[in-house]
Amino acid sequence: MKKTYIDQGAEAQIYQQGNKILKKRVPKTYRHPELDHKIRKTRTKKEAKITSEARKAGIPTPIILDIKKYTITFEYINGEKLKNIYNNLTPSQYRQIGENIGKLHKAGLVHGDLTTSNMIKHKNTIYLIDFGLAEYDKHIESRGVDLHILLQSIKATHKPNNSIKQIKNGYKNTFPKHKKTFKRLNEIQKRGRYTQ
Amino acid sequence: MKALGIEGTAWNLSVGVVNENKVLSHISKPYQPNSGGIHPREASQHHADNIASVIDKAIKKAEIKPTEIDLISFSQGPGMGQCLRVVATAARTLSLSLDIPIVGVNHCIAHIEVGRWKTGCEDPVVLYVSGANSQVLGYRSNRYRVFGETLDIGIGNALDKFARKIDLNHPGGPKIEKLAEKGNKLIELPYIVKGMDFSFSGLITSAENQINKKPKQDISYSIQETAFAMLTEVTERALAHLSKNEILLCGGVANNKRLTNMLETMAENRDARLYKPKPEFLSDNGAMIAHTGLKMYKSGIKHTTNINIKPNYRPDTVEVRWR
Repeated sequence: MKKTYIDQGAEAQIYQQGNKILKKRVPKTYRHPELDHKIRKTRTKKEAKITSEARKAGIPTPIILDIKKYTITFEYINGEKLKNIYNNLTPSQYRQIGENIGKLHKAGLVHGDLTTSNMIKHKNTIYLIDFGLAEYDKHIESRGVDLHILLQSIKATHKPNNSIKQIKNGYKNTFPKHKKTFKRLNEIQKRGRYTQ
Repeated sequence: MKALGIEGTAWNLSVGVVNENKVLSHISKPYQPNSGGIHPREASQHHADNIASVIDKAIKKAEIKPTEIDLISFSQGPGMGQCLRVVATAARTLSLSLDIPIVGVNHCIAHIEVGRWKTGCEDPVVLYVSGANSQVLGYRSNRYRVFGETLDIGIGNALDKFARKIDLNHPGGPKIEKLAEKGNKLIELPYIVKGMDFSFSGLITSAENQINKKPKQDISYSIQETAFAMLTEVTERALAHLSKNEILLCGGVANNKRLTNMLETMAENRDARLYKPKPEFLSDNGAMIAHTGLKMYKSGIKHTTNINIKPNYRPDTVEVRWR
């Protein structure tokens, strides 16, 4: 089966092979080979682990089919990246975005790179992808930054309209400590950092 | 216009005179501790003792009269409060006695602006690495935004701290670099990158614990390999994120050959280009303060002699009107 090259991030190359997605962490020649292998291996493992844990916490994520040294094989989610259809979603779909993040934070995880490029709409479900920067992290700061990065990216690329309010409602629905996160979010916004 | 700039955020006291096209003079008098690291009170005393003569020398070397100076600028922060106060006092005094305008300059932004001026890069992702500071910055909608930064100490201080533990005197960074050139065995040290931020204190503690177990050159080599890879990774991520293809390396630690070489390799692999000004404009210098002050003043920024120092002055709080 032919592999088609889709995307190149800072860390990995993404290929599609039929109904599979392959994410391969490529070597970085600037670092010492031993260090390079170690980093790629541990990050691949961690990404696979956190993706599965997020799934267990009730967040729609792609199923992992295989994991090799530096490559994760995911099921292909046949849908639209939210980036391309953001302004046409329904209120309940905006809410779903927030609900996914709330569930993630409740499970003691943060995504680390929440943007509308890392979300896919398949039928009526919003999937969360790319846990490459995700962490086991229960700090309020990290949760606030997680949300802040998402809101920044929405404001930079889309018309937020009423969507942010719905996202926050969704987050409230699934995360009991939402007040603390929102308070910190306001502080972070005032600092003017973590811009997208 | 001719601008005189005074830099004194930390150990180096430096005065530069510039006009729009070139640096007319540039004199430095660094404080050298007898032992250990920088003692803030001693450093500020050194600045107070020497500031008048350094200003005098810079004006003489520029071959101008004091009355020909049109603008005074000074490093307002971030830095050590006691040192900043000495510099601010001198700047206010000059502004009042010569009856010319005064501008307070953010030290981090001055590093970036002198780098852009001297290398000709347009819109780079900036890796600013010095004793106290380690940041990845990029320009976006009228500000230099901080995309990633150290969560604890600057890379320069991290290297100096380890150097002191193996009895190398200040500044330790260049001596660690020499030692590292003789090392070739990688010792596992914590590699800490959290999203776009990074941290050095755990790495240094772990390296210190190896001092009696492993050769010093191998520990030094491993510190450099690990810490610089962290900085290069975050710089690359900012490049990918912002879709930029220029990197500007500045700050004192930019003198390090291995760090430069890592960034060059990364840049080549991404079809990006690395820019680095000459050593005299890499470390803290008065010319960068004078140049940035001039740019700020010409863009309509005016301060008064009531201006105060800002020891925790963040670069992303400054509105950039001159770009």
